[in-house]
Amino acid sequence: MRAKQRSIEQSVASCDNALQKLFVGLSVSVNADDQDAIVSEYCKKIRAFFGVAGACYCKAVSADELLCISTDGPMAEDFAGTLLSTRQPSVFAGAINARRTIWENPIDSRQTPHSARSTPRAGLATPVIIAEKVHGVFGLFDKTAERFPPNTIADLDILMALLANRLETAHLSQQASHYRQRANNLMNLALDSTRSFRIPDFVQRFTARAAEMLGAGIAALVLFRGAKLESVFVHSDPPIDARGLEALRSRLSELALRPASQIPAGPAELAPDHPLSVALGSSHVALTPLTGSTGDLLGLLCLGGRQRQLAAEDRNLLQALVSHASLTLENFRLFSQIEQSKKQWVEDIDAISDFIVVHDRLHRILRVNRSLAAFIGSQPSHMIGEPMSALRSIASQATAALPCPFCQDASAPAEENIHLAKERAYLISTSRIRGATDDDWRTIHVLKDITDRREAERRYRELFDNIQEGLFFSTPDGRFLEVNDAMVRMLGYSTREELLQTNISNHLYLAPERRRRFLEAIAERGVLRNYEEPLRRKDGTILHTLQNIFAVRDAQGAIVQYRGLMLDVTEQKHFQAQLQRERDFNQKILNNTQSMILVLDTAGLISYANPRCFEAGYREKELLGHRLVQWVSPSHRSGFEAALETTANGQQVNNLELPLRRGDGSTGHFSVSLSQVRDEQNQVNSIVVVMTDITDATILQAKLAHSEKMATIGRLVSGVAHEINNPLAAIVGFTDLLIENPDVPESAKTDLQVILQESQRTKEIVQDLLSFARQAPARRLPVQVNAVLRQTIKLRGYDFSSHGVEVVENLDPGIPRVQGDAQQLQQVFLNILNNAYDAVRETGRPGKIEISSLRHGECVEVHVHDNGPGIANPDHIFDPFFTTKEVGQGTGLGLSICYGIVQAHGGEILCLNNTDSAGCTFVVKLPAASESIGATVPEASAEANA
Amino acid sequence: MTSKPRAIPTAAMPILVIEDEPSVTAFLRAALERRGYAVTPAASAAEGLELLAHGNFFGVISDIRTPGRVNGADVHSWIQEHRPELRSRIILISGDTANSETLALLERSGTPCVEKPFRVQEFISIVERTLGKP
Repeated sequence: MRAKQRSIEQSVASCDNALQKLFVGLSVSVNADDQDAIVSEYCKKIRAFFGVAGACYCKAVSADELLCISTDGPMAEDFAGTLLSTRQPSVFAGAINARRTIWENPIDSRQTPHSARSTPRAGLATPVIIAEKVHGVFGLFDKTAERFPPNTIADLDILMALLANRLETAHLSQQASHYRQRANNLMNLALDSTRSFRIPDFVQRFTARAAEMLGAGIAALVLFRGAKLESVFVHSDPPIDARGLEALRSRLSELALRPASQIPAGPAELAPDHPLSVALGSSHVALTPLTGSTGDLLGLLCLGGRQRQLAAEDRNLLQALVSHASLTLENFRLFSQIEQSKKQWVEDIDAISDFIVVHDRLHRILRVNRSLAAFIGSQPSHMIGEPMSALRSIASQATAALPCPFCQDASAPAEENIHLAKERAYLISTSRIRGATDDDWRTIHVLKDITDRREAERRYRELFDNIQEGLFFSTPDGRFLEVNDAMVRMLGYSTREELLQTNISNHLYLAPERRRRFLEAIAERGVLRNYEEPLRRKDGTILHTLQNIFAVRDAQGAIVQYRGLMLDVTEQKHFQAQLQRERDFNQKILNNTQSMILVLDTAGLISYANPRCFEAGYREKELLGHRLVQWVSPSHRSGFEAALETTANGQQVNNLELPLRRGDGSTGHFSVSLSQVRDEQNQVNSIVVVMTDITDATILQAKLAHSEKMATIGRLVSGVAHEINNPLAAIVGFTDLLIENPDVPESAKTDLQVILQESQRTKEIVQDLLSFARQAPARRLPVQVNAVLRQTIKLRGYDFSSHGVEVVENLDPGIPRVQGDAQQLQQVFLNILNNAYDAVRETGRPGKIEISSLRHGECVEVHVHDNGPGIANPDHIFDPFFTTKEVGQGTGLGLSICYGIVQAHGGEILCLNNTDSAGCTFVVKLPAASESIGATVPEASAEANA
Repeated sequence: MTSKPRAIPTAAMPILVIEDEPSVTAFLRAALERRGYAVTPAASAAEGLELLAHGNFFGVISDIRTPGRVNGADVHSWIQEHRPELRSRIILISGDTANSETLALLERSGTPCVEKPFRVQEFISIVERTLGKP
């Protein structure tokens, strides 16, 4: 280029003055960079210099086409903008093909462009060659060839060389300016990315710049976040209308949804029929992906409205631009994430209700959270840089002098302590971060207000300590971790520590298997409710406990603790046992008593009957649900109903004696007691009836009463007899002495004999009384009753037969002997026989007395049966002085004496009126002698006793 | 209680009659004295024992039931121990049946006993048989 410049300068130097002037004019005029202006000036000045009718410059726009870009002079002015083919023969095509100046005179006007008004006759065409390539062709036209001076070709060649040089220089200059522009743009782009624009601002600028740098009339950038379309930016010059913008957005959105494989990897030219090309109304549309560092698609840059296809250089530029933009976008995003998380972090810290303060090594506040600032009555930002002593208002008095009220040991990496201030309690957790420089040393205090928690803890502790139930924490290996005082007291230990050292399994449990049983139960169920366990107190006594326990497990599910509550139920246990005993006792009484016990409801229906009722012959279906009054003899029902009424009104009725029908239908004499049972409201809701069959007892009682009466009379008689015997002895004695006395006249002695006689009678009465009163028989020997009977009969036999009284003996030879006094027994039998004799004699009928002996169970019975008139009062016949005989015939003591004798022998004497015939029967029952039961004893031995 | 030297009982000595009933004592005394016996009455067993301790008697006739702490049976026992010469010279009188123990004692020792009321002849024959005639 420089060599060419020098050769042109040498050519110019050799030219004449006029031409040199033109050179100077051409080289200093017009903007050196504007090729069109240069060409236009060259056309104008060269036509003027040569004085021809027209000049033009046709630029090679392709391999075989020329475009007229500049004209001057009337002969060329209509020619501007004409396109010429170099394949058709013309002066221009000739110049290009020859690569030199062609002069044609005349020229073929059909092949030469010309104005409508004038047709050139001669023309000159010179190719302008830059870097061996034809840039264009300069043409001069005129009417005739004479207008071209002889040196024209030579001058034109120099001028064209100059033009070529100017054009090249302009081109280079333009190129340089273009590159400078690009460099500037790139630099600005870099600057844009470093300025803290928001993403939309950056993207807007980037889109505009990319459009500018790559000569695109319209540029669109679509951004993705993940697979989602984030935003679309469009830069358009001239501005695109709303409908076009909408169409463009929708095409880009579609594109964004395409699979990654359909997105080009780098800058790509789209086909003219591509929907995006259609939307942009542009044939040259370039699409370039923005890719993140990890290969993910960040966005797409779409450039349209370009005049030409992407050159390799453009591709590189585009690639560089999008790489840069991708990086910047990523950075923006990362930065915004950091900003976001920083903001969130501050929000998080502020959201914490605990007080947080961070200070540096010099105890200056670096940060406080909102709750602390609010507590102080300030803003977090206002407190930064303040000394920590500004927080004294939440510090206790004692630490007021320290630079930081919360630091206790500044060398510790972490601290935790409780801080009491102004009725509040704080748990202060302190962490210290150490750095290389002072700025990096930070102390973080977190103040947790634990006032309520401490209060709650205090309350729980108080409850734990003062509750009357035992509370404990224990381990599976049998140690207490914690127990309360009640527990210590319950188990009889003197201190908590003592109990804590006790082995539960060995000392508290009664047997190791009981502890094992507990461990198994809680391992299986986790919770034990109302678990009963007797434990051993320290003094060895048994404590009955009721426990509620749950197991505490670790993360692996293994039991680490038992926690529970223990109640002392020893008293209840004893009470329960006692209750059970009482219940058993009552049940036994109910089951075994000889009394019948019934429960009646308020309507008088039987709701319960004890087993004795059924043993007594009543049947369940006859009793339960029936009225008891039905069993009472009709004559006593109203009385019984009244007694029920009385009881229902709250008054107990005792020993009501009633005739009642028995289970077997017979009637018995019952003693009935009624008592009321009250419910919780103290209302009588049932009546307990206790009934005892006292039929036998009534008889027995009558006998006992009689026997008692007899004994009393016996004692009385004994005393009376003694008192009578003394005067009687004097009377009899002195009467005897008087009768012996010869001085007493005979007549008086007759009277004295009467006195003696009556005295004798008195003596006999007294003798009888004494016999009756004699309490115990003198002898107790085995006696053969039959022998005594025969002897007695023999005593009276003569008398009986002589008075026509028949005596029948019906004695059982097999009866056992009895233990007793044969003489007394004889007296008894004699008395009975005499009584029978007197009775049968009363009737006037032939008397008959039947005497029989028999064995009845463990007794020997003697029956004396007569056919006399019978006895009006058989119940009273054994009473002393009771006699049916006329006065003077008997003392009335005979049968009483018999009664006494038989009683003393442990036997029984009865008098019964005969049911089948007239008369009565005396029955004497005597217990068999124990050694003779079942043995028959020879009767002869009894004779000896008798 | 000290005793005087024992003398063989003779009819010259009185019979000690222990009886609390004055009418009976009077009758016994009359019956015995009319037969020639001497009589020393005592109204109680205690008095009888006092007399026995200091005097000599031909025999003793005592009611079994006497007032006071000492009765006829006790007198009998005392004589058995302290007055061997009078051992078989005792006659007891019973007003009623004595208790079975006393009866058993009498039976064992063979001491005669008369029951009130009794006839004079019956009584005198027992006295003559037991003590002999005066």
